[in-house]
Amino acid sequence: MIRLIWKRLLQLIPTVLIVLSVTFVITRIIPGNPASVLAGPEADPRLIAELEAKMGLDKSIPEQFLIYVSDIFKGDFGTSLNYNEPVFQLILSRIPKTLMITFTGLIVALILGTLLGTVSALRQNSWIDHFCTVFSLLGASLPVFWIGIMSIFLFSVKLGWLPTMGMGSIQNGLWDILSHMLLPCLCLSLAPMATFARTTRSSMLDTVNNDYIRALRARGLKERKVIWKHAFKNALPPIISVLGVQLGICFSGAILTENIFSWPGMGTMISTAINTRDYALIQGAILTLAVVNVAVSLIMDIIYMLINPKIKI
Amino acid sequence: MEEKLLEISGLRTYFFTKSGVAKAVDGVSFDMTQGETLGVVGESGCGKSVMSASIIRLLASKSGKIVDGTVTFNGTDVSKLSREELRKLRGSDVAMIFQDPMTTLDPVFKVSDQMIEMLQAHRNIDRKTAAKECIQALADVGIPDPHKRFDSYPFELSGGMCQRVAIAMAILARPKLIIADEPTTALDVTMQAQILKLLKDLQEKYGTSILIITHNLGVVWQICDNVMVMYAGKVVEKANVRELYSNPKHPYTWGLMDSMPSLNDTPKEPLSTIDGIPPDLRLVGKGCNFRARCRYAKQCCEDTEPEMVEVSDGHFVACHFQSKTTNLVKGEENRNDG
Ligand SMILES: Nc1ncnc2c1ncn2[C@@H]1O[C@H](COP(=O)(O)OP(=O)(O)O)[C@@H](O)[C@H]1O
Ligand code: SF4
Ligand SMILES: [Mg+2]
Repeated sequence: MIRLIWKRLLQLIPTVLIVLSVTFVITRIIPGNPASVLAGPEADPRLIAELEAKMGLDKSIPEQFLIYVSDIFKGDFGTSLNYNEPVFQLILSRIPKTLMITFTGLIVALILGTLLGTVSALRQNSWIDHFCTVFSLLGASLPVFWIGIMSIFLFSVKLGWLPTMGMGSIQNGLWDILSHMLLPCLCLSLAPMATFARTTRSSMLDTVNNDYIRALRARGLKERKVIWKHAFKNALPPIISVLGVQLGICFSGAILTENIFSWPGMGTMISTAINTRDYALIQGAILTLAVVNVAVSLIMDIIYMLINPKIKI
Repeated sequence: MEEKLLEISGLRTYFFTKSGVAKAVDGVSFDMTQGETLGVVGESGCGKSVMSASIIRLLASKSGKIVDGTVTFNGTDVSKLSREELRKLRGSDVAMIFQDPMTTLDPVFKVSDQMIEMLQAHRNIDRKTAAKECIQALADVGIPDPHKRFDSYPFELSGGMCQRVAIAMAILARPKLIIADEPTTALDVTMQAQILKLLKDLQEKYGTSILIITHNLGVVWQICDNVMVMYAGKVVEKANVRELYSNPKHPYTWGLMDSMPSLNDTPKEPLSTIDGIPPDLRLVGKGCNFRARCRYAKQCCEDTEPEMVEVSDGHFVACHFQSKTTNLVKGEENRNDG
């Protein structure tokens, strides 16, 4: 276990370096730079050059990269031009909001998806099973932005039940936040829910035909226990693998979804940063996403080991 | 007359598959008394497992249905029990031991979890007391160092050890009947003997009845009081063990006995086997199911199904040419009219 954590932490170093250099190069390749954005579209080239010199953009790209990396090792991620705040603090204030909808969406997807999958495995060929099949297909194929726009159209514009954008404020009560969260989370959870339902269904179908399930029934256990304790735990490994993948997908899905619903998290911040060529912020944010992804897969590995008694910790 | 523990009459269990109806159990009747050991023999696929699972209505597949017959256990009709009553019957009054010990324990829970849980399913008992009883049961079935095994996962135990755990669980709730479906088939020879002896010892200790399924007649001679021979979903012969051993009547039983290895066989001599294979259970119809493989078959075996008749006290046979008056002799030509 400890060894695994160390191994993962070591793997983190090349990952970070690669992500850093790729984003660094890409941001420099996009036409336009912070100086030109700051100076405005019809600015005097001399002003732009002056700004560039001030920002260190007149140096060669490898030189800029070295300066950037050495700053990071000093704990300095630079300052956002657009927000005029340290990148590190901006990310710290935004990331909880992104994680909030990511995890809520994922948990909703996990609970409803496994529930749907289990029930449809137990009642093969019933209406709920057919519903599950259709739902898995749709959920996996409809794009998030389409579902997002359609749900805004239906629930906010047509029915007027839910707010269209923003996060609300806790000062207006918990419901204000929840009602703002509802659509983004729902929209975010649909695709993973479909995957969970499909995975659970097939894993459960494999499991309930095992001899030990019949043996448990022969021992007079309650059906509820046979299914939800024994069969479910045995059916769990593929669900956990999917969970790891889906957490990554959900996180990147959140970035997209935030832009649809103007949710003030990392996603909206990254869009703004890209539009304003806010180099330091783009790099910092992408780096954060990479680190989060590595952390997620580490957590998944640990969970995997915990539920499998054959792996000694 | 002795009190009947189990009475089965006219039991039929069919599997409704896409390719047809398989009559896995087709009109089986028998009784068991308290403390009796009944052996069920027959080649594989002839319905032994399905028959025994039908007693507690626990079929492996949803396509299987008990279509007819009654199972009376201890005076109550099992088919009339509610779900909850049936659940309570399973494991507490009737326990089951399966063929492959490595797959009958849930691989992801410890032995302790599974044993305690089973006890708690039938009795209102706290974990600590339950654990004590479970460890005692493990010791009773001859598991060395029961505390350690109790705290193990099934994959940490050998096959023989798993089967002992399964037996310990079976006796945990002091059942009146243990159904053992080929409990030793998956084990090596020494382990087989130990497990059989264990079952016999436990039976003596607790007075349990045992319904043991096997395709090994040696097991039957060793531990059973009575024996029942099944072929293609039907019982073809039923008798006291001594009677069947010395005076088998059904041509299928003769075949089974000939195909059993015995100590005085010379190793080079090939074992005689019954020619052919059991019929496809989806195709069995009228007539004697054994006719295609029976060297004594006559026209009547094609046309009508032989009925079960009592040839001598407690010895029943289903063959057209075996009754109190007619007597087919093994190896001799069948001179009766068909
Ligand atoms: N799950 C099933 N689906 C369809 N048919 C089955 C199933 N289980 C058993 N059968 C039928 O029942 C017959 C008897 O099976 P079984 O009782 O397991 O035989 P035995 O225990 O005597 O070897 C098989 O030959 C098969 O035709
Ligand atoms: S009834 Fe006919 S076919 Fe069947 S066992 Fe007797 S002789 Fe053979
Ligand atoms: Mg069998």
